[in-house]
Amino acid sequence: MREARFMGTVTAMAMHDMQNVLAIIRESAGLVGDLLEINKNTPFKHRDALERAVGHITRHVERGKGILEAMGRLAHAPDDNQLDHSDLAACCRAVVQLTERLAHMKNAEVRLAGPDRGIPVGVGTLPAMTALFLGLSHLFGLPGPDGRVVNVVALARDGAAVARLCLDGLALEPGAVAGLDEALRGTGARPAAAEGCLELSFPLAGPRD
Amino acid sequence: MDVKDWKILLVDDEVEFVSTLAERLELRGMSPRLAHDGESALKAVAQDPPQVMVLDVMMPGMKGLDVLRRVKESHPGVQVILLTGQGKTRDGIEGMKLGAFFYMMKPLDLDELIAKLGEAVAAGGGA
Repeated sequence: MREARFMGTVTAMAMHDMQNVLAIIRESAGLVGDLLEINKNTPFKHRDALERAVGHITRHVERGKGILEAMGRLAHAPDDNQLDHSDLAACCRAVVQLTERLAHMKNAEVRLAGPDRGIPVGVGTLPAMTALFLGLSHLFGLPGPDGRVVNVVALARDGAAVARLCLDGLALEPGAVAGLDEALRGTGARPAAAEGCLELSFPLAGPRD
Repeated sequence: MDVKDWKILLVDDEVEFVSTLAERLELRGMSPRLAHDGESALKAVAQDPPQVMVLDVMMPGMKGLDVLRRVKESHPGVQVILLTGQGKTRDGIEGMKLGAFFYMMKPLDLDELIAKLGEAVAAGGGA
């Protein structure tokens, strides 16, 4: 845990710097956009290209903001107040964001589905995110055609919290989760194939002070 | 009240960020003052209290939450909008408990900031 805390602290500090970098880029691009708007009636040969560039910068700053938010959850996972409980929906959101690149490298796509409502679980943020990551990696590694899409949704059902990982247009066989039990040992998650999806069940958190 | 009459103090140690933000607010008719650390911010408040202070939480030297605490003791009418980082919601919540008007995350949404500045002014921001 000491090493995890070190990683978290260093990552959080680097993230803070990156937030400032993004904030400067965003305000600078915004200023250029403001000036283009103020001078919209002044002929300018490269206006379209500049407006497009401002649009690209603004969109990618938003993208970076999402990645930093997810990294923030990971960086703060070893904090004392997240060792034995977490929000499964927030963990799903963060892991989906952080695995976009991995999915892309596997010619796959990962999407967050369902309502954005907090689901408190009695498992720490680090093991919960680890379980979700392993579940997604398992689905990416299954044999099948390229271009698969994995939809991730967190829900509370029958006294448990469940993360459902469903492949678009492909129903999982019950045997498709073989070996995952062992991989998830110690994370607090139990895997099962249900209704063609991979389900990871976590204990719901009890009331907290 | 017209935006040109809003008394705003922007406090952030990231000079390029805060000066560019000030330029964008100036283009919209406002005249914000700037401070780049907690001590300067407290001096600026003592000399001429703003209606609203936009205050970065993570600064070297005096931290944003300490500045907030001191401002709320000396000038409780000054409304403070905190700037926090992603994943630092706890700082924002702590700031709200100390009397902050609102907290926002960097990078900022300028339209949202201006809307909150307006609400803070309307809420009676001032010394």
